[in-house]
Amino acid sequence: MLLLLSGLAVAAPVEAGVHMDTLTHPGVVVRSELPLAGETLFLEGEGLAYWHPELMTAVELRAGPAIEHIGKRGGILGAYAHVGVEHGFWTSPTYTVENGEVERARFTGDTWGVGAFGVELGHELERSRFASWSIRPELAARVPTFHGMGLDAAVEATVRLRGRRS
Amino acid sequence: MIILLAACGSDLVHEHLNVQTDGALLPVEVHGNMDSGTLLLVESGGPSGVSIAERTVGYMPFQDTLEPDLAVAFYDRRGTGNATGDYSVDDQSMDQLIADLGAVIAVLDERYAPERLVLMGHSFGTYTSALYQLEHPGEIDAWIAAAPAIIEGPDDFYVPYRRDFACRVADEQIAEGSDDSLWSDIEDFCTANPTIPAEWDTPEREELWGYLGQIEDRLEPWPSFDVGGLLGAVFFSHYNIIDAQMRGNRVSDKIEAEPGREDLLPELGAIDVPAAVITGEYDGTTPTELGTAVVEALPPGAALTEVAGGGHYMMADDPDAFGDAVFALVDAL
Repeated sequence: MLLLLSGLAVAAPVEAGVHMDTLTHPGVVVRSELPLAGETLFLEGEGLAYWHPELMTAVELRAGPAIEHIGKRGGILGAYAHVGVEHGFWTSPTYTVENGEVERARFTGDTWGVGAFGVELGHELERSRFASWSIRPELAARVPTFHGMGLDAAVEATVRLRGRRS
Repeated sequence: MIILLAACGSDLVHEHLNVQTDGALLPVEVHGNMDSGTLLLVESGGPSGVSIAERTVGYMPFQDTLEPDLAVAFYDRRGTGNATGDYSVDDQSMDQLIADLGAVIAVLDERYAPERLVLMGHSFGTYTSALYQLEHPGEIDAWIAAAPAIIEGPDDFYVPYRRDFACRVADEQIAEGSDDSLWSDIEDFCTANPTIPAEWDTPEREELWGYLGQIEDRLEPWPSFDVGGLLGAVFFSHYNIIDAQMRGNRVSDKIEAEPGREDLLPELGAIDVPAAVITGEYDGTTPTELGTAVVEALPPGAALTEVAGGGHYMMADDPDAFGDAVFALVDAL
């Protein structure tokens, strides 16, 4: 998270786009990175939020290593693994029952640890205000949730707002 | 557009709630006609039954039968489905399940104030719904026991009922002209064993269980999985059905009946609300013979309906017949 914030602050590359949890739960994502080894290995950080109708509005911060290869024709191929934390605010009416007393609860939710891995496919852009675009299918796990581990498939589609690749 | 307009004009409720109690967050779904004043709460089977998902995948298909005329509520008990929260498997118990059911009923009362609250247990849920009434009399207005069940204990109380079920089915099949040797084998078994003790690990029980499996294979229907409903739930519902269906349930084996109360039949006379018992003709797990005993144990007036050709999920095998049995009770309230 500090990485993401510092990236945003110090003119490191910034990508932004949509995060689609299970394809149909819409959200947004902002991502930044710092180089670890040349132009191949990076430390990424990203923040995202998505809306799972009637279940929760979730916010998530995570970071982790990413590898990236840019082909001669500008094609981008990469992979990443992130860990972080997610908080979901229940969006359905929630009631607490204690000693038989029923009360409507506000701002209730749950917090989980998350791990995600995925691949990146994209392309650099010429004559565009954006440096590149990329699509990232991923699989994430939330722990502990739903009496065990929750699995979330998602796709992110982003453009690089600043910071040219390679 | 017509469908959209029809949907907009519908007065049916489709709501998702959360009930937070004793460390658990229990998801609740309510579907149907709340203006009817009647709310039917499903207490699912299992105890690992994933209640909300059973509607979604077609095991409790009340969309076209019950829901246009009354509201139906489903909830996932702790350890199943999408129930979550800060509790351990070891915290689960029969007492906790009864307390959770009470919490769900309290929330439904608070939010909807139904004129009539009907509690419908299915299989294991018939036990918990009966126990709830015995411990909290006066909280509900009617009881439906679909596929009434007994809890396993030091004895296997199912044995005599399942023996009578097997014998009855064999007699019927022979009378209908079936030349399957299974039925004559069962008839011979029944003649040789006019009664079987309600005990575990007897040779008679082992042989009976073999016959029950073959009856199930030949006659008992099983609801087909509604793939469309499953895909719709994955991509377009608030329900995380991947977790509910693809992962093992975390239901504790500590959920057991209080010693001596595995069979609630001797106590059912204290249930003083109108009741209906519904069974499936070919359900050898919770057969009509047990349903008959439940009706006889209840105060006078309880009705028994056997869904012809039905199995353990008779509500899916013949939704209309099941709906008729429900409305026969509800309309008289």
